[in-house]
Amino acid sequence: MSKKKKSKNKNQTSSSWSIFIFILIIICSSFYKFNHDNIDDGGFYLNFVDVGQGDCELITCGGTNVLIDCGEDSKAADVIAYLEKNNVQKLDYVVATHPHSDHMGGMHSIIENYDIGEVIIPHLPDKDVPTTRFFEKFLDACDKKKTKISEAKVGRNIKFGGADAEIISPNSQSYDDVNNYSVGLLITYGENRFILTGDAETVSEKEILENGVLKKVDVYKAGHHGSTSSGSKKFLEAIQPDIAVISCGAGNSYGHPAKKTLTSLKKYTDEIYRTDLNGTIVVYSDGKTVSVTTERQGK
Amino acid sequence: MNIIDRFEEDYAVIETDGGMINVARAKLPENAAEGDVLEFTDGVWTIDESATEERRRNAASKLRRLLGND
Repeated sequence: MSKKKKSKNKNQTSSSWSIFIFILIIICSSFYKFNHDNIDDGGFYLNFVDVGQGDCELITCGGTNVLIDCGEDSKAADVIAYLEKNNVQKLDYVVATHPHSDHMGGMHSIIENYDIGEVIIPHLPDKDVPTTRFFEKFLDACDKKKTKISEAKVGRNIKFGGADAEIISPNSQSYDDVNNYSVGLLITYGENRFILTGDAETVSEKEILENGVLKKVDVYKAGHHGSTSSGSKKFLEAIQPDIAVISCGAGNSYGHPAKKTLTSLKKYTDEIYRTDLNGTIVVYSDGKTVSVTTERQGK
Repeated sequence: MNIIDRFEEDYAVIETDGGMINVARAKLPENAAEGDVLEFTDGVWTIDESATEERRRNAASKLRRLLGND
């Protein structure tokens, strides 16, 4: 073979290798980006807003804002102030876990004041459709704003920015207790998991367990404000929370959280936060580790 | 108007014109249920069944329409 031909072949081989390595770099970069998108989006914030005796959670992640419950009507202004403080100008999803006043008493104000992508509520048979005025105001607000409203479907996965939220309850079409219609969410962000079940009681928790969807979680919002009606032994065994958050009002009339609940939680963690003692509680995840900041130290 | 929102432990949580109040369950009729519209006269709570039924019917109809299920 002539020297010129040898040189040409060597150059061709070198070019082929360069192209191969370039393509390999592109593929590896894409793979890295795919697996780390959620870590690069500023993290996952789960705010347990202090609304006194009630529930209200705000999730912000990668530009997506989700409100889960909003407490009593009397707390709506506080919730809106908190949203403003966090520069929330629109809500991609609103989840009204179930139609009790301590969870959605103020929801009509949220609907009236924000553009909302979708409101998710549980399916309610006619016998359990509320007669309350706050629920009527909520329906009227949705009607006036032409808000998209849909019923929670177990198994539906929703993207909350870089986080994945799976609807895990309610699993039945009819319950004796309205608390069991609570829309439950199992949320994953990177390696961290969070579970929120509204006021779902042991009846609903049993159904969730039977579906086999539960995994160890980093953060568990204690069901029904830490009442003994929720947080069964088997449920806690399945989720083994590293951190528990109880949303309840200072000096509430119902004894929330129950001492028995606190004892049960302490089998799994000493990191138990309470809105009655700590005020608003902010959980942050970077996809690997979870940290908590609170409005008050509390004890 | 007084409407039972829910029961918590020994209390009924009632929506009134002035906000939410707690009333001991023992002070309500034994068959009082969530959603019942109540009258409070001379210190006695009674259930207004027709008002309850009407409010439920209207709310259900509105809900189904908004869900696109009517």
